[in-house]
Amino acid sequence: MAAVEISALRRVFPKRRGPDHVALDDVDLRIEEGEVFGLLGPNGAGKTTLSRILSTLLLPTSGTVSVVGHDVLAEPRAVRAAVGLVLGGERGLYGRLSARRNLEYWAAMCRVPRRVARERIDLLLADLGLATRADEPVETFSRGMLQRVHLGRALVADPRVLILDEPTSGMDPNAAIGFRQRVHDLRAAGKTILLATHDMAEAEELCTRVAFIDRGRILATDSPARLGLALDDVQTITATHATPATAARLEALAGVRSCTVDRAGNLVVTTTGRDDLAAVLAAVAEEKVRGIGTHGPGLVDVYRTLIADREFSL
Amino acid sequence: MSPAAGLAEVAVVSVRTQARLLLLRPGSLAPLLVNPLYVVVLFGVVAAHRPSATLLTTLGLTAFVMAAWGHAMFTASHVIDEERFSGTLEINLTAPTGYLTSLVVRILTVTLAAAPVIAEVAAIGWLVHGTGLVVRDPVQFGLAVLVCLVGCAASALLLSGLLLLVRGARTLQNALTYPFYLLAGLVLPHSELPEGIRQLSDLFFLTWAVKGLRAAASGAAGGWTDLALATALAVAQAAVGVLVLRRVVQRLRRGEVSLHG
Repeated sequence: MAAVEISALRRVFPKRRGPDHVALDDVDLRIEEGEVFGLLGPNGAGKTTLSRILSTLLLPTSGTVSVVGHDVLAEPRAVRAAVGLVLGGERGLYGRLSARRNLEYWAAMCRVPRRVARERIDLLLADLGLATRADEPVETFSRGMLQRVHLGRALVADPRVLILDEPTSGMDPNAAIGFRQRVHDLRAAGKTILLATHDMAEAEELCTRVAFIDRGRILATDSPARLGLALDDVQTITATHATPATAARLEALAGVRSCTVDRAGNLVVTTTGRDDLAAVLAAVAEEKVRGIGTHGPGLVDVYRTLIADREFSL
Repeated sequence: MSPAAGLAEVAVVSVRTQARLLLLRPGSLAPLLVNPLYVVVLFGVVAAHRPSATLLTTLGLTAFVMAAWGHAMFTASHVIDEERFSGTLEINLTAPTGYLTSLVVRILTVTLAAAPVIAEVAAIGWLVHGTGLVVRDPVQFGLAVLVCLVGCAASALLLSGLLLLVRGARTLQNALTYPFYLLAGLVLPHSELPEGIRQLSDLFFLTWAVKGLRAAASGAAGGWTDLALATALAVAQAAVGVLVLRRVVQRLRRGEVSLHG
């Protein structure tokens, strides 16, 4: 049985003025039990809308959605019992209450028997590294700690499916690495995880499969490795200490698809066609740059290929 | 866990959680601190006229009902709106069952926090005039206080749904005090209200709760009938409040009402 099965899902937000906003358009998706599935796309692509529909926070306009065999419209309570939702950010907890009180409240809301809840909460707080501060108000916690409380809250009812919506946004690198390790542990424990993110490195590290979504439509679904294979002739050259003049010279070369230099002098050259790679590499080497490196196509390249850069336009 | 036991657990945890949230934010208990000042003013106004114990009791009860109603309108009714503001509404709506139960219990918990005001009123009466509230039928009086508070909670429940539905409803909340004090016969005797207003007043639970409180204090006849009417109207109001909240939750899930404050 699939953990999540979505067919012809459409979600439209009517607007008083102007055309309706189509947040999800004809989405088909199947996530197997035990998978860590990444949902990747830019802001406003439809990731959060899909996460909300899967957790019954929003109703679909049309189409069918089932979670562990339960339809979100016909059996919303069964779906809620099966799903744990983790939202990124500082909202969603009772700030003046301690981590333990937040978890106790949620355990009762999920009908976890009190004795089971008490044991589970102690275990979770210890496992998430929160035991020493379990009785302090969560409003005094750092972003990383808050996110661990969010995860603990979602896990207190032992759900089969976890939905993580931008769980590491705003976290410092160490906190994000720690959080990702928890996701690895949860996967090993057999949980099905839907990870909505626009952090490609995170998706590459954690996900067994990913789907790219933009403007409410699924553009591609596969494992990160297979998606990269489709762009086999794309290579990325990176270097430091570059100048805008370097970029201008390199951009004119055959086989260079894009070339950017940021303010810190970091150069990123994307090439297509293996025949031109050696010539571009030689040209980069001739520039007064340092730390030259190359790597094959990753999810960032897939992302940039599938999703047009809208910069600041919506 | 059986459904009934589960709901009972939700209710217990909701009381505990809301009580903690109240105690950790003392500002929300302001009516308990501000009300004594009102009582001192009211008692001070009549002091020169050597008021009878009955008049002092009526004034004290008026101050108590105003405090309870104000606390319900301005604090208890904000429970769900504050949940929306803090993002906990979104999370609570993903709970398998019981969020509406939790909300009802939490709004009731906040409203019941105004109960000690009755003791404050009695204490101030004692300090200022050497006499506390005179209560002829303590059992009936205790029930009347409870009905009054539960009815105020029902009103808060109804208002809380409207606060989510109507943008800017908070700015209209000031209109929910004195007009309703008039309607309930707190400021003017019920019998002095114009005909049309009096008929409207008869449909308001607080009118009968106030009559029941006064009757229980003075020992006048008809107090139980007043209380029965107040209870029936409060229950009807609570039922409408639950229905409105259900509708609001449905609209939230349809995306017609914002999940965020």
